[in-house]
Amino acid sequence: MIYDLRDRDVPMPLTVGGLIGAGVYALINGLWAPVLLTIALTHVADFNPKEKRLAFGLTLAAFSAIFQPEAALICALILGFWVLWEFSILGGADVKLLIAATLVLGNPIVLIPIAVSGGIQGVIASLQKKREIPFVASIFCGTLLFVVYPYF
Amino acid sequence: MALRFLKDNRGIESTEVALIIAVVVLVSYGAYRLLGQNIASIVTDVAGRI
Repeated sequence: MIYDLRDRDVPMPLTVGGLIGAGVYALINGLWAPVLLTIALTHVADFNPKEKRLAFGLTLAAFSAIFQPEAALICALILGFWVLWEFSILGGADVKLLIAATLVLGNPIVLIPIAVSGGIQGVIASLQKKREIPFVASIFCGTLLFVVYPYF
Repeated sequence: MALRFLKDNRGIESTEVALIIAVVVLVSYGAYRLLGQNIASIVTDVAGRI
C-alpha cells in the first residue's frame, strides 16, 4: 500500500508473493479449482489475439465452476477481475491482490467492503479534483474491515 | 514465457472506475438478496426438467 501511494506501482515480489501464498493457503483449505483457474489465466494472458484469451478464460472458468460448484462464485469473481485487467480497467497489481484476498478469505462477500472503500476513495478524490486513485489502499482497507467486522 | 499478467504492477485506477465498481457491486448484491431465492428455485426447476 505504501509503495502504491508513493509510486502508483507495487513491486512484483509483493504481489506475486502474496498471490502464491494465497494460492497455497487456498489449496490447503480445499479451494483447488479457483487456484488452478488463477494459474491457467496467468498463462492464458500471453495468448494472442485478445478474443482467444477471453474465450479461453471464459471456458476455463466455466470448467472450474463445474468441477467445484461450491467455489463457482469465487471462480466467477476471479474471471471478472482478470477480464477487467484484460480491458485495462484495473491494474495488474490490484487484480493480483484482489485474487489473493478472495483466495485467502474464500468468501466473495469481501468484494463488498473493498468496493465500498473504493467508492468512498473515488468520491473523496473527485472532490479533490483528482483523476486517479491508488486502489491498493481500498483493497487493504476493505479486506481489513471484512476480517475485523465480526469482532465488533 | 512472457507472463504478462504477473509482470504488470500497475496499481492505479481512475476515480470513475472506482465509483462504477462500487455501484455495480452494491446493485448486484442487492439484486442477489432480493431475487437470489427465486433464481435458485428457477435454476432447480430447469435442472429438474432436464
